[in-house]
Amino acid sequence: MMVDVKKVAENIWEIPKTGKMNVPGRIFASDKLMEKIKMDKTMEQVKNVACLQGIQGYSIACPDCHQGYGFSIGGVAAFDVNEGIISPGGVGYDINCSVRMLKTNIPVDVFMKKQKEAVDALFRVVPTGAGKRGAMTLEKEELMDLMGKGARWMVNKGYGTKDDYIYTESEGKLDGDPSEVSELALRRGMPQLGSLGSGNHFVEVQAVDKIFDPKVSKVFGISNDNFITLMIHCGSRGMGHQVASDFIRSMEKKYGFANLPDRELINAPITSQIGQKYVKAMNAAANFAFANKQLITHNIREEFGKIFGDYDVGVLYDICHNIAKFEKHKIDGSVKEVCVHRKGATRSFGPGRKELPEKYQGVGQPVLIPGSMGTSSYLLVGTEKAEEVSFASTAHGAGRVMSRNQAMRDFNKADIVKDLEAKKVYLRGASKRGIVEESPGVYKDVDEVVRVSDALGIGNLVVKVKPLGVIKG
Amino acid sequence: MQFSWDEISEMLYRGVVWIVGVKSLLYDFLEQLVVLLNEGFLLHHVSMIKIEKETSLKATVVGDMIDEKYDVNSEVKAITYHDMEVKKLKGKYMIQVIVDI
Repeated sequence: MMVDVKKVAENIWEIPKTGKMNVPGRIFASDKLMEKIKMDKTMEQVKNVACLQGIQGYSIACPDCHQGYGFSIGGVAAFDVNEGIISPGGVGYDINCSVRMLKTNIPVDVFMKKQKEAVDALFRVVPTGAGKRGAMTLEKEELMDLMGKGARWMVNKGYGTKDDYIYTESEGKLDGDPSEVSELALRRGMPQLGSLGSGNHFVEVQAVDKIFDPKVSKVFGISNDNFITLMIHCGSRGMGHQVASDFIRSMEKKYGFANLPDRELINAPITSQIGQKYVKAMNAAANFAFANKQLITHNIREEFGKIFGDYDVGVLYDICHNIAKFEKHKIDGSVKEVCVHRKGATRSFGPGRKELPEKYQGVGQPVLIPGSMGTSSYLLVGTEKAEEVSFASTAHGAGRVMSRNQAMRDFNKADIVKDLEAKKVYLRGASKRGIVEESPGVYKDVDEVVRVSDALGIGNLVVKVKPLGVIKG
Repeated sequence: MQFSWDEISEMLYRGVVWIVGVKSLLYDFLEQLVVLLNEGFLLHHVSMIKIEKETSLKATVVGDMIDEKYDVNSEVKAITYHDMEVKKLKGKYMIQVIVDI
């Protein structure tokens, strides 16, 4: 399908409202990024989402957007809470796939002296890859309690500190109801706590490479003192995947999909019983993801304590990029509550939002954008501009440009490891194929993605970090 | 005769039961394999499969529990309906499924 798109300003492209579209589409991308975006079904998917009931403003795609299932990855769509819909496909199968950034006072040279030992230790204490048991196995009753409480559950049990959840989005707890989660989803989640999973999930140790905004980075606790940082990227594991599948199935049964341009766009009115049940189940799965990363954080902290001695490892921030949230936004001059779906997009609140930790309210929310394996990652800050133009959203990563099979044909593990070694990055991966499929060459240029975010002012550059060690699934 | 809106949509749903049925059945079957993989079971092959009226499916699956001797590429998050195709070609079925990994 040919999609009509026109450039309306630098880095802004518009798909005009035609046919069954309720709103126009907007893609935030440079000419360079747009070349790739035009090659897959992203624009068609942005257009399809614009047809959904109750959508507000624009159907949006962020600079790292690429083709997904139904909704594009990098897609943002806000729906009227009374007239609109909620869609499991608009959240994604990995509910609360998210990034947590840790700051430390461990000097880079101290880390590098024990680089291999430390990365091997991470690989040992954070189970990665398929079919592995997690670091903690819970019985059903305990698991349900955890899914009501999120990161706090772990901290209450001694796995972490209060500041860990204070510096997590929504303090690591959404309004979820575990009784809306199926037995099967619970069963899939029970043995997986503390594990990373596979695909593009990772834990990375990093060094500060460049500070763009010293004032804001100071508020976030990052300085030029050459301390390591870490990023943890993972989601709600089998639990969240099953919640998504369960609700896709039950929404299909209830509403059918005959009128949808794509079966993966299945949805339910937000106010319907099934819509409300999905919100409760999605939030419970999100809480599982928050708790999971809390346990991973604790295990990293303990292990680094043994290796490096008495240093601080604290949470800088933890932010979702696969979630639907109820937020107040200014639409046509008046403030309105909407349900913002972000599928592979990061919330980007500017200064003054009461949802942020007090310490960050003066500058805005930390936005965490990991690059691909071996490339730089970025810490950005949310803006008022994002609240005006993108329902407070920006990119979430580099964005895939090459299929996994193509990667297997074009790259091999030995070359990738050698290339990383040349950059002094030590990598441990659960599977050979996993490493090749995630090689930097299959992703868009993260530097270009964040440059566009910064140029548009929907997420401004604060700090660039480079990898020192990676574990991946 | 009068119907409520809910009843009508239910009837429409039944009206297209072949297409709905066979893809949903495929989805449900593959999802069971995802759950097994989730629990550490690596599928080698399906030794028996019996489909009745495109609404029920029984299968015997053969495989092994995952341990060090396997280099498992990836977990599967979910089965998707994205570009799913089920076509009958010369008495056999051609199936295309994209999984989320």
